[in-house]
Amino acid sequence: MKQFTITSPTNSLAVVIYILMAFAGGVYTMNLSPNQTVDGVFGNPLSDVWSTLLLLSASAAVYATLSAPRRRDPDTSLVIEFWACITLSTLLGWFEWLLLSYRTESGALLTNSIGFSSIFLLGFSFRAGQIFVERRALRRFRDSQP
Amino acid sequence: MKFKAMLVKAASHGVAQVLGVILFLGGAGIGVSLLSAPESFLNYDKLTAAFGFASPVAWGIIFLAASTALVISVLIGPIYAQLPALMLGTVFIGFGLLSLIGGPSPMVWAFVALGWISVFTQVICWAEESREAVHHYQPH
Repeated sequence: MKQFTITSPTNSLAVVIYILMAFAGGVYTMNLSPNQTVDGVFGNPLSDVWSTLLLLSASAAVYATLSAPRRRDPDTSLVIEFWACITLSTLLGWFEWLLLSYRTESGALLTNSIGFSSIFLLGFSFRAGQIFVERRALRRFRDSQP
Repeated sequence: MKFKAMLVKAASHGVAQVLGVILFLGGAGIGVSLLSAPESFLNYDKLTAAFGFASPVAWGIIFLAASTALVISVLIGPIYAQLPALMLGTVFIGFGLLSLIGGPSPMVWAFVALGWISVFTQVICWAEESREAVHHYQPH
């Protein structure tokens, strides 16, 4: 039978990125950032909604990933991480969609923001796909058990 | 030991679920009010310090998310509700203590009281987990 690996507890790159996202969400939620791009793109109060959801979903992903080794059933962690990744991708997609129509006073598109959010969006979508495959493998493995 | 026995008894009688539902009603009610009518909270001077930390909308989403997570987990099984109960407790107590900077008021103490009820719910859920662990233990 084909072997499968649950990568959640060992994927340290994903954990670092989730922590960074949670940090970014926290900074924007508490209005500590000198960069006003998020406020400018979303306007108030949508910028607060976006940053709080970013903080909560990234925190949930950090919790799911770090708590996975202690769980008897890794499926719960995979489900939480999967939905956190979907939420993070949606939030970044929303941000990027608005960024494309947003221009600064000089009329320039925010190329850096678009680039970074695209990379993270692709990363979270890939991770969600990876977890989906792992869950399917886990389910098949369980079904094959007597 | 007597206190732990009392907690275990409370856990097996579904006290955690009842408290979880009450806390959900409280937390979700506050969350929805903060989202739909932030002005009524902003006009209350005593809460200025808490809203200097994060906006009413952000607080509203946090309250709503934490209380929903608590009620879902506590209804699935109290052993899963430990973290959500602790999170909601921290949010209630944090909001209350931040508001305390603006001066004490009955509203501040109400938030702190709800926070301690959440922490108590977490303790009951922990007792339920201990009880299940003992119940499932098979001696060799």
